[in-house]
Amino acid sequence: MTHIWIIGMMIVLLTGCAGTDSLRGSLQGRRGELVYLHDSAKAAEKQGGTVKIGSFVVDDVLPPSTTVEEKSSFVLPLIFLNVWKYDYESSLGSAQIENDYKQFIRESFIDELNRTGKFSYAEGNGDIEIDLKIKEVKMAAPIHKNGHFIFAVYAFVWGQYTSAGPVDAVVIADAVLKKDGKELFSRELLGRGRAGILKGKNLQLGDYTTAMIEAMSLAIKDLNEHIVKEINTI
Amino acid sequence: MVANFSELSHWWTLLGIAVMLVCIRGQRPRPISTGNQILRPVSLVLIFFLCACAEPARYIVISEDAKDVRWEHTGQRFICLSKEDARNTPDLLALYTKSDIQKYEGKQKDVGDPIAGVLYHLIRADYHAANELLHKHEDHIPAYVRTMLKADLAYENAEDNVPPDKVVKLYQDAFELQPCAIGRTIIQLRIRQLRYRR
Repeated sequence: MTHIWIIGMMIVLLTGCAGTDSLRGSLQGRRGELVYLHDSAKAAEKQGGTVKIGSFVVDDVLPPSTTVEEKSSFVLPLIFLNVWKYDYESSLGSAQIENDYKQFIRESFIDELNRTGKFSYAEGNGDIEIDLKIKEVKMAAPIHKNGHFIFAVYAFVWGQYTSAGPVDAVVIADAVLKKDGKELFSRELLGRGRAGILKGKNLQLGDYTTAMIEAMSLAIKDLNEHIVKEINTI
Repeated sequence: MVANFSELSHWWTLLGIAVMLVCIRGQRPRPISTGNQILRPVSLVLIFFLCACAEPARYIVISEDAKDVRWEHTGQRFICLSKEDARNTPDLLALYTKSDIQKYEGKQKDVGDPIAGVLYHLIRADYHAANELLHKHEDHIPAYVRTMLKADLAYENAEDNVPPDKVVKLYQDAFELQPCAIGRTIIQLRIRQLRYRR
């Protein structure tokens, strides 16, 4: 009898009260590459003009390593009926990205320009020039954990459910397009990416790092497509 | 195309276990007749055969103009052939389960066509043999099949571990050449699977 009590209380304490450290550990245990498929429709033909990149600055838009913050918590410890619910918010860190994310953003932009731009990309002199500054990445990556422990004197029922996602990533950039030193446009452009919800019995929280990297990859892809679309309107 | 991601083989296994439990439970309290003593093991064997037969194939070869493509399992991968190439390999098309593949193995004698040869090894999950044959007949296999097979075989680690970004690059090459929309959709799915591969 005493054993059941001890085991029951330990389960409640260990699982219900497991904090951000264990979540952070799970998320930091996984790494992945920013990568995506270029599936936008190729430009039918190039117009003959060229575009060069004047400056391409990527600020330190990601924290050094993945973080987890507790947003809210609810615990109902009634000994015979115990319920808990925790909401966390995580954020992707650069340590979890295997490739150099700054280089990836630049290279993938050039790939997109070559693929869908009506102007050809030029490394040297170009007819038009674009200055880009990637200034911010916003990421909403929630994790929800809830569970219950019902103690019925000679038996107990225990269950815990974790779900994570969806991950919403937004990459924000300033783009300035110039021709012969004259500004054609200057605006802030956004790229959005979303990765699905992870849940179920086989959920491994390490996969959530992959989901965050996936959302970030898709957001970069969306941003690149927007910038090239803007250039094509010239 | 019906995108149904249910894990069919798991359901069959669960059904088998459920029937087994019913049989075992039934054996305890009641005396069993001789007929039942024979029938029960036979029915169990049949159920296990059913489970094995319904196991979905990993790679399914389809034709560009296939109308009833059933996508039942996230592990299923399609190789889409152009109408002309599909005409040369009619027996390889739409082998959805492992038992379909076994039947095909039973009747197939000689694989003269290089595409059929590589696909034969691929659907049997003999990726090293498929890779060898692909390299041997590389010049005789159309680019849209060759690029897709190279990417798939890289995914399956037919060669030394290929880093994920290289596999995505191979899929990118294949994407541009796919003759049917499902081929392109499947590539997107494969890249997602590649990300979450452990």
